[in-house]
Amino acid sequence: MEQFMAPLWLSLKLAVFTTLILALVGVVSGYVLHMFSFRGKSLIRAIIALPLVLPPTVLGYYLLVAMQPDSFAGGVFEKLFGVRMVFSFYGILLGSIVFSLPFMVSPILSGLDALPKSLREASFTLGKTRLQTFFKVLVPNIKSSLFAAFIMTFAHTIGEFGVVLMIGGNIPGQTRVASIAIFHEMEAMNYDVANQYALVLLVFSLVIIFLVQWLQKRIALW
Amino acid sequence: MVNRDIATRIHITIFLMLLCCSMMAQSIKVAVASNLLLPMQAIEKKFESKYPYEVELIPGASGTLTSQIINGAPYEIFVSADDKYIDEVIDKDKAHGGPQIICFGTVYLWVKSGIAGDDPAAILKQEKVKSIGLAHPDLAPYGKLSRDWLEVKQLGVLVHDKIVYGTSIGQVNQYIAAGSVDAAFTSNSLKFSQKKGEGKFIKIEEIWMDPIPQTMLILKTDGPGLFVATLFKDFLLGKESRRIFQDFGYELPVAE
Repeated sequence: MEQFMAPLWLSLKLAVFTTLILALVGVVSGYVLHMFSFRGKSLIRAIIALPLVLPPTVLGYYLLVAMQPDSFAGGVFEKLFGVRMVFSFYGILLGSIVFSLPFMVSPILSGLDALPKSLREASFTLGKTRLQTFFKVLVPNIKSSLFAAFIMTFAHTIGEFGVVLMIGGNIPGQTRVASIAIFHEMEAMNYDVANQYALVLLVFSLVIIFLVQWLQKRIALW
Repeated sequence: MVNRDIATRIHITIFLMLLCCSMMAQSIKVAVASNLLLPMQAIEKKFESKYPYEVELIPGASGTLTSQIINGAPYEIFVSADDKYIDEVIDKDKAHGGPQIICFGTVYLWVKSGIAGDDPAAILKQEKVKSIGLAHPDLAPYGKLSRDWLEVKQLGVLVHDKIVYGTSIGQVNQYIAAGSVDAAFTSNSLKFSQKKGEGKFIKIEEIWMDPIPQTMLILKTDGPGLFVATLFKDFLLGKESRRIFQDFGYELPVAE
């Protein structure tokens, strides 16, 4: 049982860390991209959206090449922190963060863009700073977008496969998340176990979709 | 301020995670060619009941595992389905010590029940055989030898459109278990396993075909795994393991 649960816990851990870190990244980039105007803004938006269309193998390939111990970035990282990025939890965490970036940032940005301009202007007129306006006026008005962003990021990370397989391989306790465990059990010809993992992920995905729908209705009423 | 708190917490959590990793029971990771997974699982059980160490088997095509090792995968031992990939690992300076052959494997053709015949070439020519499973020759030694055999038999062109590639023998075995192919080139270990399912197995034997040397190598790692790796290596060459390999239809190297 413990062995069966390990990949599920690992998926959960990966998803929680990814969502937490991306929540920070999402809110900060929402602030910067919404409250300031500067050159190259549309380029940044395009880069953030890129993982949506990029095949996971492309991302996995670049991360693997960039992060392997003999490479510059991988070498620096190993010297500084004593951890290896490839084929480890840190590697797949980095991969997940990059891969799920648009799932967090895009809903936040479109939520902010959909708010009437007058809201921001009224706040400025009343003498509030940018930071106060953003956190006290705008963010409370995009709660449903924020929740959707959190849940979709979380769910998307649980379902990740290609990036994890390429930079993480299939290492128990480190990178063998639930989606990889299905692949592994198939390879090991344990079809019943693969079946169980698949069922767990199927039910989980269905629950998440319901949760998103329910939350969006609820929050809209607040 | 809030952001800094979160950052501190994340740092602490990461630190704790690191600590957990270093305190886990001593275990080694063994990258194993898919064809050897079944006997290796039996050997792993025996080893773990005898010693207080854990062995984690990571199956894959020999080529895939080689590329992972070259890119820094933290395995202590690599058991490849042939010596070509082992040489590549040694060339890239990832080996600790020299290679050792543990046993020899043979290619088998699996044929779905209901398809008649005993001659493998004649079977594959039948119209009934619409799809043939084959481990990718670029990644899997069994797949490569099977393709060579097809070429020598001048079946290459004839069956070209029928071939369904698997990334490893493990994936080909999935096709067999699911019945999604009519015939497939697999390894001796499936024939002699309890998971072989239905259908018949025909040995692919030719004078020019050498048995496939399953070769083991201890890898360079930073961790403290070398002791356990050496222990496991000796166990793989020992009597108990040799018997298990034999049970799965492998031939043993002549004892020194």
